Amino acid sequence: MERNVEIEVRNLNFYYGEKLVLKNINLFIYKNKVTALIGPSGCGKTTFLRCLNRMHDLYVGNRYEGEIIFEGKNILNKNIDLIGLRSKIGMVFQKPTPFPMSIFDNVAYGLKLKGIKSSELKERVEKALIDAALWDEVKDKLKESAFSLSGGQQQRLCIARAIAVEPKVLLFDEPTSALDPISTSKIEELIVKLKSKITIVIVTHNMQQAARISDYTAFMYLGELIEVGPTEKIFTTPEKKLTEDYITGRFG
Amino acid sequence: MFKRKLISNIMLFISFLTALYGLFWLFWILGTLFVNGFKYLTLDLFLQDPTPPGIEGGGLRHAFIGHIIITSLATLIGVPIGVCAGIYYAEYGKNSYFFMALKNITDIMVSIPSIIMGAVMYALMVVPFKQFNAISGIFALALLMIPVISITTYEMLILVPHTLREAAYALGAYKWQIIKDITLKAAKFGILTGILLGVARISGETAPLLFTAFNNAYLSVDLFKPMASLTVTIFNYVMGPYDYWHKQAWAAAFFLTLLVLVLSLFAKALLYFGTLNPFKWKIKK
Repeated sequence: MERNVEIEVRNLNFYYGEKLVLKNINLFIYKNKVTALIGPSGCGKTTFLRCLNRMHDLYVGNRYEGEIIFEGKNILNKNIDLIGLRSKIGMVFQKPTPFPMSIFDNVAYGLKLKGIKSSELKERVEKALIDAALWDEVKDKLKESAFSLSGGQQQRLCIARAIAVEPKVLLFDEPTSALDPISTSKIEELIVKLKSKITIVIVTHNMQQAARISDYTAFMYLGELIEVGPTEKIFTTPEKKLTEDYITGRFG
Repeated sequence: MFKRKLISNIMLFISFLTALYGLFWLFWILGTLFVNGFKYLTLDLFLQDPTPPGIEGGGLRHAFIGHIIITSLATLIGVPIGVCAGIYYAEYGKNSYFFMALKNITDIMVSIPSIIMGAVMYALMVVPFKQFNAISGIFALALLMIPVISITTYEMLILVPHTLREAAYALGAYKWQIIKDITLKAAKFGILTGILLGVARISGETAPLLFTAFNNAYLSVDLFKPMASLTVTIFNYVMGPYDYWHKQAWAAAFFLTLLVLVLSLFAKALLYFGTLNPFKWKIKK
């Protein structure tokens, strides 16, 4: 495997029960780059993203085929340590998901799970909040409930919580679709900044967003990966007719 | 247009009347209890043991103490089992037909006639010992409150958005950690409400105690002997021949009703305001 490849997806099929929803996906996700997944609703972007940290395992009747290679191992293997995997591949969801506890405890939660000593906690929480560009807004109210924050702040809190455990990869599932334009641009800046440390995969409905922040773009349609390449190329000279139709807004 | 408005108004009026009908009886009962009970609510009622039958005076200390012992021990048994069962139904049993069937049975058990629990405990814990005993009553009440608590716990836990659980899984948490740290915390007020409602339910029960804990004319704290309870004492005193018994029964009934009312109100307040501290209650917009 190439040095700069973080995750390699080989012949991935995914079934919800009997229904095949991801068809033979092959994809490289490069280290310290932002890879955007675009495509019309129901094309399987989110389903694919949730394969990468095995989120589908929480529900019965789902089945994977193929391989996803991460750190030299196939993470679709039955006996892979899911807890360890998920602490290395973090996730940020569409709607902010603050836990019912204080701002500090939210960020500290993942660290405590990893067994970080309480003497180190304060420093790590502060660092994560600074990295998530939230520190200045919350430094005086760390003890307050996370629900007291605005939607955009809650989402950045969730990002801080995810990066606090220092994952190698961070998956974003339409992280700004519930946010206003100002919060959105803050999070986009943040994502671009984070890629120096973390590999990022982002699902987005917003093509401008993909164009703005990603290095690679993958276009999916009806469960298939139609085209993938450097973002600039996908948005200027796509190879497939379908991709061109989508990015020029002819459907979807 | 006129016709539809007329029908709407008629229906509104009928609904209003039916609501009034229900409330009328409720307030009549509460009012009668207050009028007849409040004036006999003396300190002696709580501090004195009963006098020998026929001699005026005395109080119901034995019944208050017995009632507190029976109710609190039943709560101590019922709450952990009820909450744990609710957690299991909501977090682990959801994919199993067996446990969902069990959950539905529990749902039905919420409204089981309480005397049946008394009968069950009579067979299991009174007959073998050949004596009425407080423990059998405690277990009967605990069995009554378990369905109430476990169903409320279940309902409150499944209200916790699934994204919250997923977010915790995505951080690398084990299932038990998520339940302990996230879902239980998110649902804690609802669960506490269920517990308070469960306590309110059992503290007014007579039937399950009639042939388990039975009753006792004297103060007794021995769990293996019959124990007095407020409800059974009220029942006996009302049936009794003496006027001062009736007065004490009125007062005790009033007190018990007040207790259940306050418990229920606190449960509602907890669910609505999110705190039991009355100074922090603020009306939501």
